[in-house]
Parts: sequence; structure tokens; C-alpha cells
Amino acid sequence: MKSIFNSTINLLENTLDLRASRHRLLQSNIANQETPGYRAKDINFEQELKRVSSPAGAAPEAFPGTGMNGRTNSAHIPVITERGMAPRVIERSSGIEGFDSNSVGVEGEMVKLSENTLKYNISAKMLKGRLNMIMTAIKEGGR
Amino acid sequence: MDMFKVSASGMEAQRLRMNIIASNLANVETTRTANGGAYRRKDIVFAAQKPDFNGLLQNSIDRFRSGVEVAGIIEDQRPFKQAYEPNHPDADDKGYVAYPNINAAEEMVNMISATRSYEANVAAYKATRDMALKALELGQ
Repeated sequence: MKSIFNSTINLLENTLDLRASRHRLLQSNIANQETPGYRAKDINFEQELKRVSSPAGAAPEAFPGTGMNGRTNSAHIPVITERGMAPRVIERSSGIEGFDSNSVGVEGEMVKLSENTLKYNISAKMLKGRLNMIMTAIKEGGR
Repeated sequence: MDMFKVSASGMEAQRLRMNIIASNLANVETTRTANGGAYRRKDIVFAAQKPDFNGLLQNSIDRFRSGVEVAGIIEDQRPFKQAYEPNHPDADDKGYVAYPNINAAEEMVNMISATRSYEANVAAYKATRDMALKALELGQ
């Protein structure tokens, strides 16, 4: 039997988790905007989301279009990475760096922060919509 | 919640910086201090917080997240400004008075920068709160 919590809900759940994690990184970038030597940190969000939402959480294809997923022979065992939350943190460098080698550009961070918050809220809204639909099916189906 | 602590640490650090600037501006012409001599300009040094034990147990992202802390307050070693005022009680035998090494314009620029940084942290805090509220709405 298929679960009523289908893959859309799992995807939205992962999205919320990733957005919240990214929010924390952007927040520490803003708190450390004047710390000498601090490097701005971020998540490679789009790739990460693609990875957790791809079937069986397979690794992104090394040779796109071949369907071989990095293998040189279709008889080889495909690489299946663990599905779930293991995003990589990257250090971002902005074009403008002062003498203190701090790579935080606060304007860019604020833009990313508000974009991230907005997308988090959208995902939360969509998740709520899905849950409401399930609730409607549960309540109204028996009438 | 740790998410709020990061922004709070940023606000605290900027507020302390503001205190230092205020003290520099108040003492712009102070020629007597407890240590003797004129007041020396103070400056603040920030450092990224190291993750604590709980932080290390968190997932891979939270290990990279850090608030800010004040590593120390240092004294500016630039030379004092010398002014020829033979009648001043703190004048040396050649008639020169050592005034603090404070440049009011520099302090003002520093002050604006501290204000803006503080505001950025407030904005980040508000965004965090909005996100938490939206997550709470899921349960309604």
C-alpha cells in the first residue's frame, strides 16, 4: 500500500530542512561581516535539492545523457549514495575583499537571506496545502 | 534556540563596538587618565566563535555556522596629537600638550558602520522569527 505521505511531502520536507540550514549559514555570515579572515559560507543548494529529490537519491550523473551514471559498463554496480541530508558547505568569495580578507558582502548576504526566507515560506505554504488536501480526503471521503 | 543566538551575538558585538566609539568620542580631548598621559583611542577586534561541544555533534552544516565574539579591545598605538599651549596645566616643559590620537571623522564613519551592521543582524533575526512562525503554522 502506498503511504498517504507521498514523495511531494518528502521533497517539501527536505526543502524546508535545507532552507533552514542555509538560513543559519547566511545568518553567521551577517554576524561575522567584520571578522578579519572570515570566509562567507553557503550551500550548493540547487544541486543538493536535485540530489535528494532524484530517484533513490542517486548521485548526479557524471556523464549526462548516457544513462550510465558515471559507470563505464552497464554491468557495473551503480553508485547509490545515501538518500538524505548531507549537503556540502562551500566557501563563497565575493569580488570585493578588503585588506582583512573577509569575503562577506553584506548586501549580497541580505538579498540571499530574504530570498531564502521567501522560498522557505513558500515551501511551508505548499506543504500546508498538501496536508490540508489529505485532511480533506480523510474528512470528506466518509460522507 | 541556537538560530537566534547567532544574530544575538552579532548585535551584542556591534553594541559593544558602539560603546567603545562613544567612549572615544567623549574623550576626544582628555589629557589625564588613570594610567597617566592622554587618553589612547580604543579599538575592538572580532573573531568567529568556535563551535562548542553541542555544535560538533550537529550535522555537517551546523559545524560551519558560527556567531561572532569579541576577541579583545586594543589601544591604538598611533602618536598623540601635539598642540602648543604653554598655559595648559598638562603642557610639557617645551609648552606642548599631548591630546588623544582620536580623529572625530574616523569615529563617525566607524559609528555609521556599526549601526548598519547592527541593523543587518536585526533584519536576519526578524527573518529567522518569520520562518519559525511559518513552521508553526504548519500545525494549524
